[in-house]
Amino acid sequence: MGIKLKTLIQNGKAKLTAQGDAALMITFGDSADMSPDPLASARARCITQRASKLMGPAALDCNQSARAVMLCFDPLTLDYPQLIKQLEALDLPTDQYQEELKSTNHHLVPLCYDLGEDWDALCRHLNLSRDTLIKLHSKAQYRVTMLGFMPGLPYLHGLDPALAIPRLDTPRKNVRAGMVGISGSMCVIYPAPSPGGWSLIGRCPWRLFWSSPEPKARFIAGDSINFSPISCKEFEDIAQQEGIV
Amino acid sequence: MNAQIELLKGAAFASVQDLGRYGYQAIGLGPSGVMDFRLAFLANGLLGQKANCAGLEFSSSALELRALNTKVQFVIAALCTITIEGKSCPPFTVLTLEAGQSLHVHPPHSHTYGFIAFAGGLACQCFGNSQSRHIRANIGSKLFDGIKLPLNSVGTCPKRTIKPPTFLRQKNPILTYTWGPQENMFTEKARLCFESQPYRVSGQRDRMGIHLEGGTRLEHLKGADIASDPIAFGAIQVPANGQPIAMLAERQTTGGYAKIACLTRDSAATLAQCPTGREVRFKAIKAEDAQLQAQFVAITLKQTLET
Repeated sequence: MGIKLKTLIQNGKAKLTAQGDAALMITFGDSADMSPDPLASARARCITQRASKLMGPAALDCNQSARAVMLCFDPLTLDYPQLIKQLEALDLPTDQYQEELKSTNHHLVPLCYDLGEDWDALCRHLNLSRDTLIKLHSKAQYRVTMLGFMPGLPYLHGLDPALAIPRLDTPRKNVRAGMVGISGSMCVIYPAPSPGGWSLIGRCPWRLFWSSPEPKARFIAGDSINFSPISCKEFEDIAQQEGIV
Repeated sequence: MNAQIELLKGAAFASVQDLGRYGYQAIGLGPSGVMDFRLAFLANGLLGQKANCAGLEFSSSALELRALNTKVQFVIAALCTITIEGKSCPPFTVLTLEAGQSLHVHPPHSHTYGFIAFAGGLACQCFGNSQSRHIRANIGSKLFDGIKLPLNSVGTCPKRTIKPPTFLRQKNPILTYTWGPQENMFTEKARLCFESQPYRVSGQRDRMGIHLEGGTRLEHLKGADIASDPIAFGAIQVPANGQPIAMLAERQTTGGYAKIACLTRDSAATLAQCPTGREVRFKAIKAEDAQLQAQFVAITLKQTLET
């Protein structure tokens, strides 16, 4: 038994906002609330899964985040009242476990902690030993709440609160592909070289994004992840197979 | 043998674009595509082909092109000086470049982006369902001076011409928008300011977005940060400094600053066309009216083609 989106809207737990003439944002809870909200994420995922059906031939795109999902469509063949009527009738989960039990992908992601670059600062700031930090980071299970910032980059919720650290005062101009960063309650993996302000705790040898023949990412919102500590040698071997620089 | 056009000069400020690469925002890849869909519609329409045929979007530098092995027909949708072998030619007109002839296109004078459609459309490599270049993702053909671009073969197009559209000549545009999704994170004064004060297009602008300046800072009730969420074309985010930024074709797909409003596609295209320094104003409309406006724009564009 689910709960209708219409009911959530009436109870102030969800909000529909037109974005100009060709997109609709569905927000669960308060946008300003940056704490993890697995139920909001599960509800967003539910809408993502039904996006093509909801929009029909007018469908252009769908994107979701930790507590929102946006539908993009051709405004000439789909109007807001039609779309909203269908959305409001949707049954959404009443708890996040219903969604989590359905098939989402789980990944065991290799991570070489020895290739992290901010260990000194992290240990000092968090007042924990490197071994403890690695243990806390690697024993957690993470969930991908969205991809963004650059193609293939996953934002992961599930970081142990003991590892919460603000962004770097001075962001790096160039973070290498595969670096794993932490900030606040989240963890990310950089798919390609990029500027970045997150504390770097290790490097992952997997490719996360392919552009050809068709753009494709390894992860998608809803996936769950565990990190598996590997050695530098294992990193080199896998990185070579994967073809990452 | 396929027709080819050589881009001799101007690659730095041009790119291969069609209407965009949709279906990949959920993996962090934004659609890119032309900044002004109206020009792609008119230019391709004059050649009797669908609006989504790939062409060259160009802006601040002059282009020089040469037809290589066979004649090439094309339309330039821009207000700019065009010469073929030194002879002046009109925009919004089906023109022919004979094999070996050179075409010079000067930057648009009074708007920012022009679009060159080719008969048959460009036949560069498709990634997903589109040839659109996305610079930050490094997807799509990277242009360089001297590159030879393939074209799809097509029969001869009838010579057609239309008057340049009036939307390229807006001196003081009023840009329509719908509120939100985070309009309630701003003070009432901020919301009043946004919909009443004039803004200027700053020099900080590109295919990712346009920074607007001028007027009272838009204040947030508690702070500018939100749980990052998806960003639509034309969305206007306001970071802590209180100055709005309109997000355009090569925007990031998600972002963590409160969004006060979202422009209609037509208004976003008009904003993209504004030269640096141009004054604009914003006007709130309801979602239903935004869609009525989209219908009106589509009808007007079709009628423009039929004149």
